[in-house]
Amino acid sequence: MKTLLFVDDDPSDRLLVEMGCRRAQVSFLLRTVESGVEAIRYLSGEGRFADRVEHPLPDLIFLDLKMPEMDGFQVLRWIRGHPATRTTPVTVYSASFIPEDIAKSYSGGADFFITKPSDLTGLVDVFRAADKCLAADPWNDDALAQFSEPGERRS
Amino acid sequence: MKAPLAFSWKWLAQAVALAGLYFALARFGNVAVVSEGNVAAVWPAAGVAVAGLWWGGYRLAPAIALGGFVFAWLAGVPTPVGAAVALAGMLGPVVAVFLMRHYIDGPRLFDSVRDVFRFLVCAATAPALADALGAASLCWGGVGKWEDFHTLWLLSWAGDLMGILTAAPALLVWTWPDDLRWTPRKRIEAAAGFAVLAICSMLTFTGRLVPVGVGVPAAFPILPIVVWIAIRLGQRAAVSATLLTCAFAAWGTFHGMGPFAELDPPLPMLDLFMGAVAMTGLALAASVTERERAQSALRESEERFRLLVEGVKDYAIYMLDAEGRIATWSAGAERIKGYRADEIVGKSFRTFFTPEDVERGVPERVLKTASEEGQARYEGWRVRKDGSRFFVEGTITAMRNKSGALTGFSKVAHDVTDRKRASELLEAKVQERTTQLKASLSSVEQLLYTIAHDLRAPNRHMQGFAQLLQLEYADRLDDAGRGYLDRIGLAAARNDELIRDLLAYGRLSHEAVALAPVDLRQTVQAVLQAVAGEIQHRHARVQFSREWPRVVANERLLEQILTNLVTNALIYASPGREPEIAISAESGGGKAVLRVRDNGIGIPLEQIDRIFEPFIRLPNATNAPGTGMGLAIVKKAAERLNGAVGADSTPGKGSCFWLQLQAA
Repeated sequence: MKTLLFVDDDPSDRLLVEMGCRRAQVSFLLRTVESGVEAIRYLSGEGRFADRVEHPLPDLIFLDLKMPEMDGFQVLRWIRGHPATRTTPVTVYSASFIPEDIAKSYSGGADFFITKPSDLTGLVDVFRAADKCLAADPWNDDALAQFSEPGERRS
Repeated sequence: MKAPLAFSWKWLAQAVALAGLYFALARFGNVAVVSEGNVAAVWPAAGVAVAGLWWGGYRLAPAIALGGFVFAWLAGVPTPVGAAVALAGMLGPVVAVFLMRHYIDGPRLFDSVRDVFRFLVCAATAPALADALGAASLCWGGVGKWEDFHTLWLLSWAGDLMGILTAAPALLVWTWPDDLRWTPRKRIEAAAGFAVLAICSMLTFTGRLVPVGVGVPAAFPILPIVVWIAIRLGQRAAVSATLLTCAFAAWGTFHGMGPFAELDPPLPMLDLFMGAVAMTGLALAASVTERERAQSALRESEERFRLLVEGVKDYAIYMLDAEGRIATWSAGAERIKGYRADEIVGKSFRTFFTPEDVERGVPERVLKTASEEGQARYEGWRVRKDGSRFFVEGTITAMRNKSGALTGFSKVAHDVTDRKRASELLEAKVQERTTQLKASLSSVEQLLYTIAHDLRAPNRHMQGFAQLLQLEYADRLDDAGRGYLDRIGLAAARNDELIRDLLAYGRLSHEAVALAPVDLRQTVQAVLQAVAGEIQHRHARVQFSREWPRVVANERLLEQILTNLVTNALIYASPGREPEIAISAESGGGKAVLRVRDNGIGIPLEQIDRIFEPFIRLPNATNAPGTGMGLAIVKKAAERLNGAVGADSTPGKGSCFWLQLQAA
């Protein structure tokens, strides 16, 4: 089973994503963490995250940008700097739609940039597409095309 | 003014005096009467008459006639002949004075060389006619013979001319003040000059001590002495010397002595000599007078200039030679630059420049510009004698001589250090404030962006959870409850749209916009593709023009503008008509204009100027979706593209929005 790690400090967003994934009937395992610091603990297997059965290394990471203590860009740099996660696909999933954030995300090593959809339908579409991508192994163009479609911006 | 001939005791006295003098000189002149007729070789009485009339006016003319008549009567000339000759003798001076008054600017006659020669012409022409009458009278009265008329006329004319040339100036010049400053040295020089003249004249004309030969050349040695006196001692001395010389020459010749006595006839040569001496003396004295006047005018002007320059304390006024060395100095220059004249004159003006400027060749450039363009304005920091610096503003003007060669430069400089420092301070202050403002603006923008960004999250959550309620708890709500949920979702969506528009508008104000040539056709196609769904949904028809100029723009902003305009055309369609949109473009004069025309509800005329302001929504379109920011974003974006937007509309028929950009 594939794992998707969702990193967001906003509990409502985390809840909406959980509900969205349930409605999309995704087949991947969704794991959520509530900060950038915790995301790094998870990825490096510290503390309660040492159990890789309960907390497997993710096959796809959804990363919010605006977070206290350690923001998305810093987490992204950490991910790209560590052998275990260097090649893990990362989707920046942020409320932002300004070009600077998008450009900075891609130059920081993100694979996708998706602006958080403002309604549930859009959100469900995003995670349904993510599920398809993860199911196709290796990721093929069809799956990627579907994945990027619901996102509002993908340059 | 009194009538010319009105009687007065003063006139009578003057008339009697003039008549007496005329008569006396006539007697003296008559010493040289030629045996064949009563004609004098020199007739100083004519000179006295001219001087008298010039000085006293025409009203003294009868005195001349009287003097002449008495002289003729005593000489035994028959009364009618004497009267005729006397009248002719009066006519000559009257005409001469008339001509002089007419052609020479008074009141002084001999102050310029030009006037001296005019006097000669007047003195020569006036007696010619009068003497013809005089000679005719003599012949008619039997005093002279008709066959001698020609000689009589010529001789009396020459006599009159010589009389006027020698006696009139002597009398007139002495009545006018003399410009000469009589220093003791001048007095000694004058005494010596006249002594030498008198001795030489005596030797030449009355003695036979020196065998100098005969004719005019023999009298030449006199001329340099007259020249000396005329040049050195002024007009009075010149006319006196002339008179003295002529008196000796005439007296000597008439007594059979001197270089002219042995000539046959002696009189023409004597006349020629006297004429030459008189004219030389007058012309030279006039020339000297002219030059002295010019020099004194120049001195006065220089003095005035010097006083002016010295009086100016706030400006450094000084001159440079052609190589840039200080040639003159002034009080203002000393005050501003700190050098005394004796310290700085002769030094290069580079002294005033800062070492940096000297190294960069600034002084040379200033001189070069001034000499090439005639004048140069300059400003910059300069150094005082004490090493302190000051800021000057000034003008340097090249001076050239008649042939155009550079002779130097004049400089006027003003110390504006206070002003400069104040403006520098102000500039720094403005700079500082601008930086502060920019910083605070940027932090405000950052804050606004964060707020707007954070405001989006609750909207998103409201929408999301409202939808979840709809989906998962629909069976536990009635229609009213589901309706309320719809309203919550719509309100949240609208709020989100508003925030996004505000963010977009705010970003347009300050984000960097890169401008480049953009293919208008491609942009229009991209926009139409993006709104294709809406076009289809509303059954809209879209038409294009053929021409698609390239424009200077930013693709993203241009898309933003076009999307708004096309979307508006779709949204504000007339309820009864299917939307028709015409998109056209044209270029000319370096500009390109894009028009989006629709057949929609139009814009009320009183609103048309306001539609580009933020949050303006038309009263006839309150039901249409939108935040009221669309056209404000369009206007702002157009401004960032160095372009302009506008609209024309007929309410009920449609609107036309135009966007003007620079053509690429």
